[in-house]
Amino acid sequence: MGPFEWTGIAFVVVNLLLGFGFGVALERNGFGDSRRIAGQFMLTDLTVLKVMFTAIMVAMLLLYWSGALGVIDMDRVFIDETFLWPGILGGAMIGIGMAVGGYCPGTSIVATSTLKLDGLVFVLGLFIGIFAFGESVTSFWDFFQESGAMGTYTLDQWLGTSTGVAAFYVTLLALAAFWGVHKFEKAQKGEDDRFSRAGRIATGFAIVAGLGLVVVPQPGLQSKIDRMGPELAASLAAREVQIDPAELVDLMHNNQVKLLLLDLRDEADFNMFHLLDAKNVTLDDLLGDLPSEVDPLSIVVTMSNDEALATEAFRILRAQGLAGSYILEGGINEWLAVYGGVSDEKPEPVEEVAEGPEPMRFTFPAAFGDRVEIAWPNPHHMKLPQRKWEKKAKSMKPMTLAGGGCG
Amino acid sequence: MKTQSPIKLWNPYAGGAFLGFVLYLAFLLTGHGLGASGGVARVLAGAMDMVAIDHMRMSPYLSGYADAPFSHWIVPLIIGLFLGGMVSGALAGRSKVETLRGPGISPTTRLVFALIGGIIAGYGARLARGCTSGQALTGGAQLAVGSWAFMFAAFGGGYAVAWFARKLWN
Repeated sequence: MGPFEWTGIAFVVVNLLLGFGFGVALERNGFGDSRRIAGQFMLTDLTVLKVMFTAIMVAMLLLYWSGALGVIDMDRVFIDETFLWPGILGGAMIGIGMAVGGYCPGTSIVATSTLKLDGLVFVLGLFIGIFAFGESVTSFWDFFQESGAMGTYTLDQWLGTSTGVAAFYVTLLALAAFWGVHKFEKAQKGEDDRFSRAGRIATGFAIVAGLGLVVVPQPGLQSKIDRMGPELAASLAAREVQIDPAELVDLMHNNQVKLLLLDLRDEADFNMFHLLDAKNVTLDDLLGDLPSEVDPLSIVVTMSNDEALATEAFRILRAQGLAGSYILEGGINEWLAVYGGVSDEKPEPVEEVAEGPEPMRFTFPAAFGDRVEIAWPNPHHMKLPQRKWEKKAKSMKPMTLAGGGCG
Repeated sequence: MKTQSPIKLWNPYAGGAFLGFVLYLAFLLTGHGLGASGGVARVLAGAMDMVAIDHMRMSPYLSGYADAPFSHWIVPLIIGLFLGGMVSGALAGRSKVETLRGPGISPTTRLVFALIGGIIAGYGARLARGCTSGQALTGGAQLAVGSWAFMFAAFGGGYAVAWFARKLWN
């Protein structure tokens, strides 16, 4: 099952061959000729749009069918992360560069390889532009790294649909574009605008392949949870992901992090006492689509009375792609044991602990919910017990430039 | 041989499907897509590291690329891109020294605008973390929101200046 790990000479050869195929594709589509690329913007030659949208559609259908059939492990495919505003601004600049200079970076390399002087000069321009970017980016580093940074964010998440439905929409969008381009070109030339037999067959194939993705599911969350099992078991055993109550207090007062608290206990325990802003959820809630307020960059802390349910929830969240999920060490029982002593309303140890896997070991005179000081212990106003703790939660900063994808 | 007319280009839909298949093979075999501008950046960083190492260390952006710039997949990929274009162009009879341009401008004018366009595109490609290959094609096929926004912005940028650039091409 792909993708594969390549090392040494095989790594070079595989990428060289992929590049070779890429070069042949660009050359044979006529993209070694600036007039053809600029023609897209002059509306005299719409090859760029046809080739690009066909390539995207074909690669997308093959990719997601391979994911559905287990030929490709989608978790190991590097997906371009979204940095919305730098992407839009940079995209507009590339569009301007194409209309003025007649190439984009890849096509200028192909033009150079076929001895076009304008291609070579465009590549020189690229060097200058990249150098200028390196020299100037420090003056707007925050914009570059953080403006509209959404991590891995795909159309299905944006539209709130399954991957298959999103892929089908893209298929329809591409086909609609081809239809429009065809009518436009034939009308301009005054030709018969019927579609060729091959075109109709290919369109049928694309629609069937796209519709199929709507029906055939991508591998589910459960298979992802199973696959991540061993790796997570190791960090759980090493207690790298269980954060001390004092670290959570620290996170609660750190306005640099987006913190989400998920309480897995039953409603009665939750109503008796819970941390401020904690959401009461069940494992089933987490197995479905996560609510939209869950930001891939937030730190999520799961909690139950001890750790068992919280650990299950943690496994699901990590499989859901939330790399910043952690467990409250010792759960609510430990929290109350640590901070109960400084509370305005004192929790009392329960004399007869309830049956069941994870009972609450403290009780309050009434169901206070979060209307107790220690639902949000404030170190500035309360004398909290001093604890030694080791910082474990890592704030999820948007990825930096070292990644894969577009390199 | 020199007088032979060049081999015809592919039908754009068939050619697009071939390009899409190459992109798919990249996903299947390596888990990353295609790219170009990142490779140009790494070649630049590698070259500068040889001639201007002190200056490189001052630039946090390019020096990030300078550590073993040639060990990244994108460098063999763009070497392959160059070779593929070269072989395909030579076999098709399209390899010859020339300056491709619109009918109304001189070669010098064309080269000046190619340089300007290259500078703008090079700057934009690093700002957008990828170009038409790495963002539009690769991210587009992966349904990445940022890549689709990039693609519409690229068409938008091109059409916004098309009227001013029309004398270069028509």
